[in-house]
Amino acid sequence: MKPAFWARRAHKWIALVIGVQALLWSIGGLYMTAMSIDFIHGDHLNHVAAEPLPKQGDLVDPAVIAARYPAMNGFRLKRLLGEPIYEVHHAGGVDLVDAVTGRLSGPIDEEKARQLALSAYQGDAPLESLQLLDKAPQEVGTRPVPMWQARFGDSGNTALYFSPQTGNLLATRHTYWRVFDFLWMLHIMDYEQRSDVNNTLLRVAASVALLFMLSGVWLLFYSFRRRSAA
Amino acid sequence: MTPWIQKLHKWVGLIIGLQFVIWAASGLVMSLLDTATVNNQHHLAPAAQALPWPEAEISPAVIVARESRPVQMVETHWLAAEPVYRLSDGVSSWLADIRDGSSVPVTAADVAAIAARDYVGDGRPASPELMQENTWEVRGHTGPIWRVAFSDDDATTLYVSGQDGTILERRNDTWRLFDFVMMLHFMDYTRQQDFNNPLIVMAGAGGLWLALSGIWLFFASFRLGEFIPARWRPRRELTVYGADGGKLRSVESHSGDTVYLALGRNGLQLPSNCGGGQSCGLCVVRVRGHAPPPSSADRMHIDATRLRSGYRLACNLPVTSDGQIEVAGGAALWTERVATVVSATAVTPFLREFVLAPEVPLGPEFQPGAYLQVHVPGYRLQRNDLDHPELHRQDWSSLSLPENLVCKEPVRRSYSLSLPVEKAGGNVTLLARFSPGRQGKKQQPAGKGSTYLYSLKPGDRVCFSGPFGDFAIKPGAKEKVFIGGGAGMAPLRAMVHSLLESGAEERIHFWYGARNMREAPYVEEMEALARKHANFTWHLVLSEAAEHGAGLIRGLVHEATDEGLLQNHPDLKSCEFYLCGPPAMLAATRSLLARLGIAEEQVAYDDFKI
Repeated sequence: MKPAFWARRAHKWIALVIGVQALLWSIGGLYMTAMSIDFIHGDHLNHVAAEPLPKQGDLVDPAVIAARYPAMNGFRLKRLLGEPIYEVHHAGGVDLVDAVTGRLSGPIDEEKARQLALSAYQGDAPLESLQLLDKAPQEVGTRPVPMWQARFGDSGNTALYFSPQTGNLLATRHTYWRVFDFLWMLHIMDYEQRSDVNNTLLRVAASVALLFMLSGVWLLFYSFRRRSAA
Repeated sequence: MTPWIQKLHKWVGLIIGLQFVIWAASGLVMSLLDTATVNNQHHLAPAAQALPWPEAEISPAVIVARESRPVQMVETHWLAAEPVYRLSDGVSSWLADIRDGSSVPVTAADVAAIAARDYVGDGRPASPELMQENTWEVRGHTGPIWRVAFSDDDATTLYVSGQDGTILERRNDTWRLFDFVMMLHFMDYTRQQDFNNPLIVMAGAGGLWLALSGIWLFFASFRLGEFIPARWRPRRELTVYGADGGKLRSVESHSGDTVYLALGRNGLQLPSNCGGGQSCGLCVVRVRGHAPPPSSADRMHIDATRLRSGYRLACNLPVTSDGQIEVAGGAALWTERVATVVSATAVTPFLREFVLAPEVPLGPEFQPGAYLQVHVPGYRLQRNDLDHPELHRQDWSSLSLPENLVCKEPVRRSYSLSLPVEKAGGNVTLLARFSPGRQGKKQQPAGKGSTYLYSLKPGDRVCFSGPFGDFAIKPGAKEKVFIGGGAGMAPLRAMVHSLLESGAEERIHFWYGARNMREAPYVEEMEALARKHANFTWHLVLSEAAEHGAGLIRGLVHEATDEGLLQNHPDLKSCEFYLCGPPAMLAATRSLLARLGIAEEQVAYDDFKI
């Protein structure tokens, strides 16, 4: 049999093994490249106001906080919902302290979480649900719990996640992100964590894919010759 | 539909095929490179215990009030071992002294300390350098950046912010390789980690087309039967004819194979550039009898008239039942095999036995009765290249051969197997008669095939193709009569050996004619077989009166057979006849058998296509 025959046969039989995965790779690859990553990240859905800290105004001195938290490792002065606030890091975790009154103001309660969600959300759908979750959903599996989840009734089923400790926006999730993440899972063939690109399955599949592509290129050498003398 | 999909599949493949290889290869490399190593985890010192924050002397509020820039955030921060405030306006950050709020620069000494504390490994840090220009190793970062290179095996390099002393990136050679293949994967040749560039989106669209059309072609090109091992599929027989209508041979195939594959497996390599992908249109054959409806690929390559007469692409023609296929080019298409001459034995002055050891073991299709075509190359020989043993010198010197024997063009000559392959230890055994050409006044050159063969020595290479022919032992245990003469000994001898070897119990008669004892081959071998096997009888018939010792019959072989066997045979109808020999002998024998009322179905013969 001629090399052309073997090339065709190799390409065909390897396709049997890897064809479906190759289709998944190409669907995922096209989606992930055609969709702007900023859009996927949901930059159009959230906007966390970044106002500068007040130039005047009497703020609590750090010494006061240090006295209250003897095991303090540090703090951050920022604005949360427009109010200056200290985010105090100590051996026991993170606390929020009102930088004007010096009163403990955290963790974020439901009312504050609602305000956070509504002020951050850029869409035009109502807030559908607000929950404090102790177990992270898969889509924010890498984020620390507990977390506030604010779900909006827009077409993308937008969900914003906030940290009750710091009030920070942890993640923005919407349908396009979820599709992206699902395709990413298929792309790297890690169906558990969706993050391990070093898994054996992917390594084997990629090796077979390489053979597949090479057999296809090999076949190209025979596929454009018409009726030249055989 | 399918041919167009195939066309587009291959053209798109041509345009982005290389990128496809790159995607697979770079994907494989990225998957093989350990993520932790890429991220330089193995050179990262374990996180230090968080130090308690010292009593600050100045309130952040004071610093914010003093700053000309708007400040979004003030946080506690360690610059190496020095506690400082880190301020940020959302874009850049800077440091302030916690005692008096003055600006704190990030110095080379700070950077060296920060890098040394962050690193584990056997590398020594070079002195920090402030980068003149930010490379892609720190893409995504702005502002002044310090670079600290370590002298370890993987060329670890830490990048430290000149604004606040935080470690921005930890790079090493594994990361550099990873990043290079990622650039290839993303087609992001500006190295900005931008995978939303138009180039890759276009290539990705082409890739999706390739995948979708590939799936289509996959289903179009696979037959369910191909997933079943051939031996579990029903056997089918394809009979192959040359374009002249002559029968070449029958090949065995299995239902579900394509004709192209079935013939190819049997050494009949139809012309093809694409290897059976319906795209070159070279492997056209003609189906005798009922041809299946033409496929779109057939219609693309074959005009309507020829389609109507049964022409089809062999690579698109599934074998469903026994069928008859006509192949242009016929015998010339059979695969060439290479063999080495093991021995050349002068059996008689002008009959020589050649044993050839094939490079590739022969299949079961090499049956007694089949013939090979020896590929005779062009040659230029001298008369004395035709070697012969001393005892045949007289016979040879009586020939008037020219001094130079020349063959300009390669030719092919047919020779029957003269011994079953398995009996010859897997070798091919041929018996070739030297054809001296016409002697006397109107000279004709000696035979090209025999001249070539007679010049061969052990160790020489010979090419041949085959097997061909439909001369074969019929199944069943009917009484068999072999009648032969001259080089017709070859196939008959192979058949006799094969029958006796396989334990056949029917009566087997072998009547063989030669001019004299000197020209009769394998006499002792046949006599020995006859002694050993009670059901086998051997009769040598000599036509020249010169010698007739005990047990020798004089005359012409067909007449002798008639007298000695056929006239007195009780049941000729249940006999099979196998004939092979020179044309005159063959014609005479066939007319004799016809006169005796023996049906043509009972008679198999090989006329050597003379």
